[in-house]
Amino acid sequence: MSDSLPAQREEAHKAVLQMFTASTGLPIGLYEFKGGEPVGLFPNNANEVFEEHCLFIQSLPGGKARCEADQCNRARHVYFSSKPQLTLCHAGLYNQAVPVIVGNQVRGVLLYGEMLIDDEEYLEASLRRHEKTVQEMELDEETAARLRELLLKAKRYTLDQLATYQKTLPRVEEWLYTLFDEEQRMRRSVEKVTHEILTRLQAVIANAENMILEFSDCLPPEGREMLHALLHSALALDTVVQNLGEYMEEYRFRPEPLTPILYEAKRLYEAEAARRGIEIRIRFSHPPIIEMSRHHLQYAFNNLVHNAVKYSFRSGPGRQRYVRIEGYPAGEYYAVVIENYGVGILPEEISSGKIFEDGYQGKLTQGEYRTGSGKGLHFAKRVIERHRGRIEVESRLVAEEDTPEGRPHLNRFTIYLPYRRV
Amino acid sequence: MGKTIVWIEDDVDVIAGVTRPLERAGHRFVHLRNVAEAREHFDLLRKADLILLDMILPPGTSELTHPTERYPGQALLREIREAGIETPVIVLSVVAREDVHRELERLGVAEVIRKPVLPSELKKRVEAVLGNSHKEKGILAS
Repeated sequence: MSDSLPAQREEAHKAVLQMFTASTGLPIGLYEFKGGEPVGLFPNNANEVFEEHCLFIQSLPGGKARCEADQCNRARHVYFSSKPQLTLCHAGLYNQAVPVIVGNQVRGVLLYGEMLIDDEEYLEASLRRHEKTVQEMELDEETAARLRELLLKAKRYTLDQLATYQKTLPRVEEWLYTLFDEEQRMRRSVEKVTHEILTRLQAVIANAENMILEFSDCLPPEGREMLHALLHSALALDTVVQNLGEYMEEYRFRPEPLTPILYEAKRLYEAEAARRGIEIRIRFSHPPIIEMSRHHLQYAFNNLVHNAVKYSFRSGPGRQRYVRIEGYPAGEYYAVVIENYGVGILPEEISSGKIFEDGYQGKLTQGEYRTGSGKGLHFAKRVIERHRGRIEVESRLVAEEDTPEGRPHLNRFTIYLPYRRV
Repeated sequence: MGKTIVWIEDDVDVIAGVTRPLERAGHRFVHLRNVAEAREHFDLLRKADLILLDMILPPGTSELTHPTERYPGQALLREIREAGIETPVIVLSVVAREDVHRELERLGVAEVIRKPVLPSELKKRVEAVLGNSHKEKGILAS
């Protein structure tokens, strides 16, 4: 399934249409109107249930175009009338056309059927219409006879049977559109709020950096430290907003050195780490050039380093805690290891991949000491995979002791990125 | 020598600090706060050395200037280019959608910078664009 929203919505509609066809044996299409023109959407299994009559007429010269134009006209008629109709196609088969109405607006027209109605009057109407098309298409006797034979073999339904379908399927589609509309409204709302947050954040970041650049010399060391912490907190907050994914830039790949990204991530979270008594140690061998979309990769590593700091146990008397960041060549890839000692990840969360699911928070992290959005790892994995890399996780229980922060684990995230040596 | 930069941004009172290093380097800023104001100053835009443009802008009048446009700044840029104004443009905005970016490239935007940005980073990127456009003007002039 595509990542794009319109593609996902299309797949959702097709799934509903597919279920209808699978359960009724009737072909169906959903016609939406874009720029006043009908655009049809059909389930993947539509061909399996087309009437032989329809397949035959579409195989004749001009037949397919006639059928498509006829379907669009009938859908258009119901779109503008907003009333369900039993329509007769140009070749003599009936289709039910039902508008999908949400909030007094017709969002689409469902056209399904290709059938005869089991009633003398309706059958006669079918045959009359059929004859008219045979003449208009100037079919020879043999072809006309074959077509009539196939017409009379088409499925037959009663009007009561058709009424049943009319009650259920359009309601399902109406709910689908309603859900999509609600999702769209929420997205717009998130966009507006995020815009406000990022504007204020811009002000904080701008003023913090300007103060560092212009007034650092006038400040005592603690003052300078506080300013740097302020700036880095604001930049870290930007990473959190980026995890929403709504404001991510387009990926733009260029060859760039990797190590500044890790050093920047270290800088952002160093103050927080220091407050917890945690040292961030960083070491690279053969620093690489990576084909990267720099901002995306920066945010990905920001998340990973921040997680390592956040879920580390604190230092105390006689024990020093650290987060280890190490990079080294690993065949065709460059490996970056981010390791910490602290809250663990359950084996089943790793083996099932749940730990990378959007919004998922590891069970062992849900204690009274920490909060999180559950979005950071999901985001990081997506970015790394876009860079044709992969991410591996290990979490090993190192002691059976129960501490106030939980049982200590050695956690290791290894990120592999394709690279070239400097 | 300092350049003239027109900054089309409604929140300039909130985020003015982001251009402070550029001002301290001698560049002069003119602020336009909405679409209507920008439209009244096309001559200024034509003569400026650079336009800094946000995608999300208020209309500036009671009429909806671009009722179907989600990003009025994008529509304004189209108008600017249709008016034959070739001043280099840097988009400075929270908006970073791929479909928007594609049109911005087509409209000849020199850079798209996502907010929030460090003032030092903005200065570097603005001066890079100003430097390139100066070189282009030099080539044309000769």
